[in-house]
Amino acid sequence: MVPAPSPTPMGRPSPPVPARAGIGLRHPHVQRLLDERPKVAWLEAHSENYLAAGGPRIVALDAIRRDYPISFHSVGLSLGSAEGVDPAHLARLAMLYRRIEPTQISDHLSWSVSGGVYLNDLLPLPYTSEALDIVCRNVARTQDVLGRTILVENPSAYLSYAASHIPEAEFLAAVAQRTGCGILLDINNVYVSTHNLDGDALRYMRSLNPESVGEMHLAGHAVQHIANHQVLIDDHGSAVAAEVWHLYEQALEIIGPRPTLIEWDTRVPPLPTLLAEASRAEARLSEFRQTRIHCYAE
Amino acid sequence: MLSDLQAALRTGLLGRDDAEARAAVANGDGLAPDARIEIYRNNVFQSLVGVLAAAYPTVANVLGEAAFRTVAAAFIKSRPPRQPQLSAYGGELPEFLAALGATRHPYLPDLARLEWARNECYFAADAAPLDLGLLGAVPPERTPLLRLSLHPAVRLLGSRHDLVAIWRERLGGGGRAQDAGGEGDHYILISRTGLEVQMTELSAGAFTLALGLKLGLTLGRAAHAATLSEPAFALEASLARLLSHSTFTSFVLSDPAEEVRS
Repeated sequence: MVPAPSPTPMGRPSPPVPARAGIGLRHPHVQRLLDERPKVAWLEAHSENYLAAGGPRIVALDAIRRDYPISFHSVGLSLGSAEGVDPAHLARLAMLYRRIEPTQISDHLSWSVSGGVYLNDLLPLPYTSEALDIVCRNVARTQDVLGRTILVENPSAYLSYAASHIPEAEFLAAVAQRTGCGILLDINNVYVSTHNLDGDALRYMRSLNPESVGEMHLAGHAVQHIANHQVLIDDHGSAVAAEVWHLYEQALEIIGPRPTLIEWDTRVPPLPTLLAEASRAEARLSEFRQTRIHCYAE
Repeated sequence: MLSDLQAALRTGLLGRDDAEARAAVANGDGLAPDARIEIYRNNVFQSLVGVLAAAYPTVANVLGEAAFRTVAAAFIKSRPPRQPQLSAYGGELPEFLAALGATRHPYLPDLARLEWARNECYFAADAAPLDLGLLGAVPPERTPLLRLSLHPAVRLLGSRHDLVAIWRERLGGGGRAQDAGGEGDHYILISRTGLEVQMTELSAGAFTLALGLKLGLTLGRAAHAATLSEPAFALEASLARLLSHSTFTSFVLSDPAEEVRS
């Protein structure tokens, strides 16, 4: 369920994000992207990195968006905050989205603001009916102000709360069903969270309505040992793990092909490494399509 | 209530009492709640220390990694971000460093001020620099009545330390050769020409001129103030220097009658 493209200020619709592999737009790669225009189906930018009034970053993004569909991924809406979504932040995002006209926007099923303090991390929610009402209210308000559908991403988690009584995937599905928002399914997060919290990754993905999933993310994670326990840390600092590629193949079976992003934003590798990672996702997407066409032909 | 839980987590993560947060976390067979909370606390501090280190690279170099981390963590606890726009986070660090008192590096708060000015300059609004042709068309007898608007990216910083030399030395990760710095006052124009942040040393007079124009004085009055700060002040050369660094965006000619009254 990709949101309908909205007209640009010039009245020309932005191209939609295709069900192909994209990469995260990182500052060290901007010049090379501008100079060489490598082949990649789409780019995803972190909204909060482009909120400044002006300067080189936003000027470069203006240039890049002419050649690539841009998806904006924000981390600061704090859709799970009991105190609601900050109207000032919504206004800043609205201004940015009017300027760049992204083909898709997303944020997370998490919170990062409490008492007006921004904690700069995607903190988990207790999955309760109170939290469900709050998230739905915040998502609805966001969609109203921005005038478009948002995709909400499943978080990576290292803890759960005693008060939680709704499985996360069902909670996320309920948010999508009640607000009309889409889901950004982060395959690495499913893997990391179900490992850290003893969940079942396949059951998680089967609990979602495939129609509501508008995008997928793939990223690397770190393996840490804390007090004799193996903990997976979602640090986006390495190549996608083999187990996550396998889970992605299963996600294609369960949900279908979707625009798929390679996220690698700490210890950022050279651009060719990132593009090679994207081509691995691309290969799985096209292989999936071919086997399907084959099936239908028979 | 969700708001209570989030307040408890906020308090616990920022390094204060986390008893309430621990009580809210499910306690199963695996990792204990305090170790789980610690993962998030690490994420919060590591990411924000990284944000501050990116905004203050030479302050981080002067202090060294461990000491910078300690100072930054204390700053984060006392002044956590109030908005999710991290390019705007950390502007109070120079005052925080000054309040920590004398260090082995007396120039450190000013060096931090320079880095913050550079940061603000980098992210400031875009604007076309002043069209010199328009300025040239003003009749000479009316130029004292000009009011020039500063470019949104311009910052002016005065210091007793040779900050630009220290900054250049330290950015390369370099040593202490320049730390003593040239004695005397230094006046720095931070501006953005094209897309590059530039630092330019000004004379006391040129600095006073720019400051006066920033405060809304006419060119005549700002030049008079500049002469007071630097007897040998040369208006034309100083103005040319400022113009060559995209200091202004536009001007208005004020009404002579109003000037007489004021």
